[in-house]
Amino acid sequence: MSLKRSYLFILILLFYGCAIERPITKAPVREKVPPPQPPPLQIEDPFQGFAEKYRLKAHEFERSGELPKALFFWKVVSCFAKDDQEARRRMDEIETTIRIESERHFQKGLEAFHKNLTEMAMKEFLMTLAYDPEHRQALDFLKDRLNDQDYILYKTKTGDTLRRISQEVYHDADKEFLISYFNRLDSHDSLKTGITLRLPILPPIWSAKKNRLEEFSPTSLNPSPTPKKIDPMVQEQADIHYAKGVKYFLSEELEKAIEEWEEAIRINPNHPQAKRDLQRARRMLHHLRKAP
Amino acid sequence: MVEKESLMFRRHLLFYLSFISFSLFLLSCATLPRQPEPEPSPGPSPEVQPSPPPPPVLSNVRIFPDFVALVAQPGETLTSLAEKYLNDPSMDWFIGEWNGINSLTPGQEVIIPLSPFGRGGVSLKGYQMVPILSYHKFSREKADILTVTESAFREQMSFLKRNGYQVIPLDHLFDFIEYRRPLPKKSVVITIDDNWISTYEIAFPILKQYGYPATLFVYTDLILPGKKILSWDHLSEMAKHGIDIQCHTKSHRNLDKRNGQESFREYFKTLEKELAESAEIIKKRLNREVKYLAYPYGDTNPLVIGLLTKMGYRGALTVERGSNPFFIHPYKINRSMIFGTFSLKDFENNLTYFNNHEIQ
Repeated sequence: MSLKRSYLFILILLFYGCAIERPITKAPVREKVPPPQPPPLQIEDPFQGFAEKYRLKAHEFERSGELPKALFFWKVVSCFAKDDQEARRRMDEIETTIRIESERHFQKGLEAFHKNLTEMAMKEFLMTLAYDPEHRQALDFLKDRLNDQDYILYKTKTGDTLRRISQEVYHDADKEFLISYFNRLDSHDSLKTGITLRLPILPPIWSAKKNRLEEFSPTSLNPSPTPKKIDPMVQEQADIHYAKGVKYFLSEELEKAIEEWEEAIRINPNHPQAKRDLQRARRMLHHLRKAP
Repeated sequence: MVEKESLMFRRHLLFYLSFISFSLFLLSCATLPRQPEPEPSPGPSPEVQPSPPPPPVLSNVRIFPDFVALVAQPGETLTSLAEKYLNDPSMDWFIGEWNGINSLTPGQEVIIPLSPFGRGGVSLKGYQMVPILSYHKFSREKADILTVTESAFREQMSFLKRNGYQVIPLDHLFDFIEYRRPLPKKSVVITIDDNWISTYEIAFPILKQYGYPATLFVYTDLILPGKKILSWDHLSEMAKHGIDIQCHTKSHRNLDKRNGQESFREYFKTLEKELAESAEIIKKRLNREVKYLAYPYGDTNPLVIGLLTKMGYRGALTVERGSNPFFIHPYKINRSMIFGTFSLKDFENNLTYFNNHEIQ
């Protein structure tokens, strides 16, 4: 009996031992991984060479006189090499030069402006900006004060009315509507003393004008047999008037086309197309006028 | 005796079996229970991970108050950098110019100034100028002073491309004039006046081919469906493809000339109508802002300019030949008419982009 029990015990041991399976190591099932990307460029210190590289650039721009750019690159150097003595020194020197030179040129520009030397004033203000691109006053002179004025500024006096101002400025009281239009005023508004009004400038077409045909010299239609060589600038001006004439001609405005072609011939008496088209337009106009 | 031997055999057998079974039992117990499989990590697979730990990675971008410094990464372009750091992809040339490069390669060191350096294009050597080309009409074969042939126009556009000119929109030119934007050194603007159908049939496909923006100035009294004239459908299609439609007045009258015996008040009312109504119509039909005027025949006067300013126009264009510096009067912008009779050399002569007279 004990033998049977022993056998049973052995069998249980045997089955248990065999039943425990050794783990099978399978390759782990992975989720779908995107195809491998090239690893990002990772350099231990990507900015190692920046200070030296931009130091060279700063020197280069200093040599070519482009001080604002040189100053910028010295700033780059000092950001990457915080204790760089050369960068600090150069920045101080360039900032001082910019300040002195821009102010010197601006003052020269002002002087020229007050003497009505427009060309020279323009050059000096440009020089100011070349040294200091942020110089607001030089910019203001170049963009506004050296350009033609589009308005007359009028400061109102005691007793002013729109009609009175219109009479004074335009020699025509009926143009008061212009003043109210451009200054958002009602013509019945009473005007306060000391306010500045913007008055538009009237075009010359509203003044007495010479008849262009009378002005035109008939001799210019018959140029001398040995024509002079035309300056390219003059030629260009004549071409522009000729082109304007063509546009008028195409829009059937014969009189205006004739005016432009006459102008082209006045500038360049040898303008062949203008001469040809002028004759044609005159003939057409003549026929039109004769037509019932 | 036999029975005794048999009993002995069984006991031996039992001993051996017990030994074997016990050994197996011990073996099974000695095997460690299986650990749960580790979850696949989201990081790189063990195959691509280098066995030694990588060095600490430094960022490839450093942002300072005045500039950004970076080392270009794969996939980055000048345009993407301009969009990211300057909020304007069209400023790609600016990054290129500052770094002396035309394109970006991975690993390239780049500096991006964060302020718009060089806005007026002024240096001690001179100042930048921007030419505006003015076209009117195109034809397949026949050329005259206002009509440029298809082949000449194509040749001119190709010339711009080959010689490094950058065609910019009129808006960018006005940003430059207002001292708010630097421009590429060799910038040029293309404009076309009038309502000729040839703009749609000939110039538009060529401009599209080159990817060039252009501004078309139309007068609104003559926008009709017809064989020779542009219709609103044409304009709408062109507007969707980089053509900016702007104002050339209502009737194309000369704004500087008196019509017959009209009074000053009539003249003034007509000017108002010519400038305001046309802009209103374009805005209504194309849903585009109208900011610029091309003066018919290129003529203007201070009263017209006063009206334009009051009506909120940003600028206006003449046909005075020449390029434009930043300090040009915004209502007297120069344009160079390109005549159909021009040679390529004549065309090139109208592309002055720098006044190199020393300003010192």
